Amino acid sequence: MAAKSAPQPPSAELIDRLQRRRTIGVMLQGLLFVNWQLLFLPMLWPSTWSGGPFDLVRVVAYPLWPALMLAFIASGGGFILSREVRAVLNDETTHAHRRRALEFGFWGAMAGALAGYGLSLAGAASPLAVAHLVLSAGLAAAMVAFAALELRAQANG
Amino acid sequence: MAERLGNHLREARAARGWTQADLAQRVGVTRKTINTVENGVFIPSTVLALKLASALESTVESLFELYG
Repeated sequence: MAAKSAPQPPSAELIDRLQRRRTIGVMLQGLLFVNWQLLFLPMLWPSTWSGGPFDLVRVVAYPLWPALMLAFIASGGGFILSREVRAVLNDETTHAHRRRALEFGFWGAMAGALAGYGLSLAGAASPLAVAHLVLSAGLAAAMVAFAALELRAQANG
Repeated sequence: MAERLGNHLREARAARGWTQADLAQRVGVTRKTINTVENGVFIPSTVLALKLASALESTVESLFELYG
């Protein structure tokens, strides 16, 4: 019986291509998320909150996108890729960039919390809107920071 | 004054006629990791430094040195 050959390491071209795709995807996700929030956030102001079916569906659906983004930031994503490819894609620099991006995310969330605090004091924001603000600012900062760090590292090759 | 980690990775790689992608594939990392280590932007772990030295048939001490 023929010996089983060792799996070939993924090619550098494939890894480069997947990495670029991931970086652009993360940047777009972060920017789209901010835009989406800016469009929908005013609808959560107490004066516009009706509590009707549309509002309830939106409130239940909202956490799905942030949950996916959090899962990506925590794990590096690429769940449909092979273990070997995922291991190379999530190498040391990617881990370092994720840690740095999480720091940016923390400061983004803090800025969002302070803004929410101010808006609440002025009676302009519901608790839901403040939660939106904190989550959105934190996630968007983390995603955009990750993409920016990855782009910078990939440049000047 | 803070110490700075310098390296001779680019020279060692070029001496073998390898691209960053070649070295990245041999070590099992992305090209950007090789790029950032060569440019001094990223300080590799001991494990990665040993892998780089092994791939280049060199020693960690000859690839990396402290300045300052």
